[in-house]
Amino acid sequence: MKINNLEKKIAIKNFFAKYFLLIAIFFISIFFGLKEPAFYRIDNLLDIIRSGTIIGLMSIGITYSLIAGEFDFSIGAMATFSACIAGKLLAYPNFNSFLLVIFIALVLSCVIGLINAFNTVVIGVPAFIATLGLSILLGGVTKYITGGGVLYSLSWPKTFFLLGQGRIFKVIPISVIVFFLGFLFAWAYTERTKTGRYMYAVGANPDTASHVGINVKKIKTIAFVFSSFFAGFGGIILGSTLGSITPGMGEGNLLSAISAAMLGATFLRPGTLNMTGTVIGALLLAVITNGLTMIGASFYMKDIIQGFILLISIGVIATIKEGKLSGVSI
Amino acid sequence: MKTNITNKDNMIKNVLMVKNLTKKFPGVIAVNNLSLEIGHNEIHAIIGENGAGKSTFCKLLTGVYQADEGEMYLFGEKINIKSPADAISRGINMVYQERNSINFLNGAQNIFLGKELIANNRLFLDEKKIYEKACELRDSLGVDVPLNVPLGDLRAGHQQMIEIIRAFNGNSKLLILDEPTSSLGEKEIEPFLDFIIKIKKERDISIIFISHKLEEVRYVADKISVFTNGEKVLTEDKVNLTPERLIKAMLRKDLIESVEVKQNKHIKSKIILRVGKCNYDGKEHNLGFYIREKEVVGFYGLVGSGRTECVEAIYGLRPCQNADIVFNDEKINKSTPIKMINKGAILIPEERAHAIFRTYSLTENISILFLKKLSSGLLEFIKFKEEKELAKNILEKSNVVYSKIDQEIQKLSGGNQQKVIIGRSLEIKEIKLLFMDEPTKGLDMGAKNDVYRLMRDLAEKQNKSIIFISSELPELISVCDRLYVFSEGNVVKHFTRNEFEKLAILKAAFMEGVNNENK
Repeated sequence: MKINNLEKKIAIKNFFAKYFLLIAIFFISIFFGLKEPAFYRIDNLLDIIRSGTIIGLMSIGITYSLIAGEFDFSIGAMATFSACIAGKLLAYPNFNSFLLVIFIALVLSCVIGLINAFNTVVIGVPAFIATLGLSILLGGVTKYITGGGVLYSLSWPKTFFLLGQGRIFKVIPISVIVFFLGFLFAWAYTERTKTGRYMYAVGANPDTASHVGINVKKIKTIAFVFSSFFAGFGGIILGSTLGSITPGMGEGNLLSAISAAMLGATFLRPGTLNMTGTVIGALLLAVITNGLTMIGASFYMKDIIQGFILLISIGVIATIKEGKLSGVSI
Repeated sequence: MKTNITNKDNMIKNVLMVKNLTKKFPGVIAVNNLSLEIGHNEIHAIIGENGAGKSTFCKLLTGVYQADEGEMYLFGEKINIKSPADAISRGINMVYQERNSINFLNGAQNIFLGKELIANNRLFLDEKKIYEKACELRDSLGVDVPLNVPLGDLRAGHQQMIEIIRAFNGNSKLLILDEPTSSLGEKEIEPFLDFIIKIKKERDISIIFISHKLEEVRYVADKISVFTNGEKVLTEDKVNLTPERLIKAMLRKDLIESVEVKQNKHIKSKIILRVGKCNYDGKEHNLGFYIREKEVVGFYGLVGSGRTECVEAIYGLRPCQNADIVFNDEKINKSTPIKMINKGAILIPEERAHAIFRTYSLTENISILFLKKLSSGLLEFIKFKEEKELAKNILEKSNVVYSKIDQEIQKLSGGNQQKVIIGRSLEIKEIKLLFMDEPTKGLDMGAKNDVYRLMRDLAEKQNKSIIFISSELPELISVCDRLYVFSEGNVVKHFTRNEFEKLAILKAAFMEGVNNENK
């Protein structure tokens, strides 16, 4: 009997830990809905998802580097930088092929990822410092390009705004569809492919990984490149949504993106980072931001609640996993 | 006077006396009914092979472990040491093999670590007084080390001396030095040993000196004790001991079930790996050895004799220049684990933690070696069904006891984990050579015998070659066709099975330094 009870307790605990994020989203939504019925309107719900896409893309990026056991501080500055490059190029009247510009901005993002990988993997600077340094540097370059102010141009083609503001059938935001495709790719890549499995292996134990013949440096490099790529992608959508580009706009989402990934590490496989969790984490943050605005809460409430939820959820995992958060390594 | 020494006087003459000390761990008796006396103002060396019980004995003295049975007397008074802090308060200090200092602090600050002097204002550290007191202590010991330089900038020998000075900052009665020279450069050893002899003379102190280097033990000690299998087999004054007698005392009784070895049928088989001189860890190493097909070749040596480093260099885990390695008739330059696995050699590391992903499933731990084969398409999607089948197949073949293929590998016993590690390596078709570094470490006797039989089986029936690294001579003698002895990073001696003789092999491993001395 006793053993059965104990097993039951553990099973309940595990269930709670696994689905904590969904449970939190459910109850928080009910709370907001009771306070402000307009919260449930379809266009508001879609809006929540749309605002979740930007943080979502950036946190997909950082999840890549976290899975491989590294850290990428530069995703915030990276987002601003790629948006800034895209905006600047599109402002030239004879350079308005939107797809080409996006392509250039994303390739540049990957190059930045390679620089991070070079600093960390080849030279051996700890990722935390290497990416922080690059983040500051990129911030400076962005300010130089924008002249310190807001970047905006009347010669931007309409297609640029389409990505962030357009809707298919006037209902479903294009950014949400793009985001969903991005998530699908990231999920399949990390969960279903050889390189994805290697990334988890390298993050879990680099010693073992090299013993069994995994090229640890190569895998970490790939992780950094994906990290920058998704951050840059998020930045372009952010610029397109806002309709202008401000220095620091990406950095403003940095902490949220990191918390989304960390929250995600509690989902389904407590203690292990995973893309599904990351996205649901980002969604939770978007629900909180939107709901608080809807009920007219004070501006500081958002941060207080976000921080609180992050601490609680990670705390729950830590107690369940006997104080060990394997896979979440900073 | 001499005529009326009472029992009590006798005890006081001894700084430390232990009687019938026993410490058991699951599966082993680490210290077995051991009695020993450490005299007043003597340097008492303890030698023995790895696992002879030296470290456990010291940990009993310093309160890290508590004895299961037996008594300890310090200056004739019966004591019961509860913790390391308790030991220190009684004047028993130990300097560990790994250094316990802070590199960016200077010598004086390190000596007063944990005993910092506070200035009169009760707020700040009194750095001046700390430095003065430390210098006083140093001068009283009569040594010459700078104390105002960050420790990290000093030579290893000086760092070690500062750790020992620290042990004197208080009322040290008994000082235990665990392999104090293992981290020192060749030129630093002799001055360091002179320093030990000097502090013994200047101070009223007894020293336990643990080492497995015969030459330095014979240089520094007054008395020498030999430990074997957790028992003390010999204590003598240094003057009465020859190196031969010491080594003979270290011979262990055979505890190992003998394994059937079909001998020498492969004596003319093809040489699969031949290694000459290699340059790694900033030194040239003389590794003259070769392995034939269908052979189990042992690497014997003491801990720190460079066996693991050697195979890591060959396997590409350690940067290696000017490597003279011929594997499968092909010269190997700049090896990496991936390259070596593809060419047919795999390393099974000493630390099982380096071979497995603890929290990952059995399936994932097995398939990690075969993902190339198990994936398809541009993005290399893993074929999960085949992955599971392969894992099941290997687990079955290797007789692993498990409940579900998606259970975490850390839930298996050590022996079963080892079976998984070996089993998955064998599944790679190309593998012809296995480097097995201490494959029986931490296993119980039954699991060990399984591993021995498996090794012979692989060599005789499956045409594999095996390099078997071990610190336990009996198992090497039982399983190997030939063996090489390592000392100080080099291969120093070679034995074939019909030449196997424990005494000669031990001599080769222990006596290298002694021979150099004679040259």
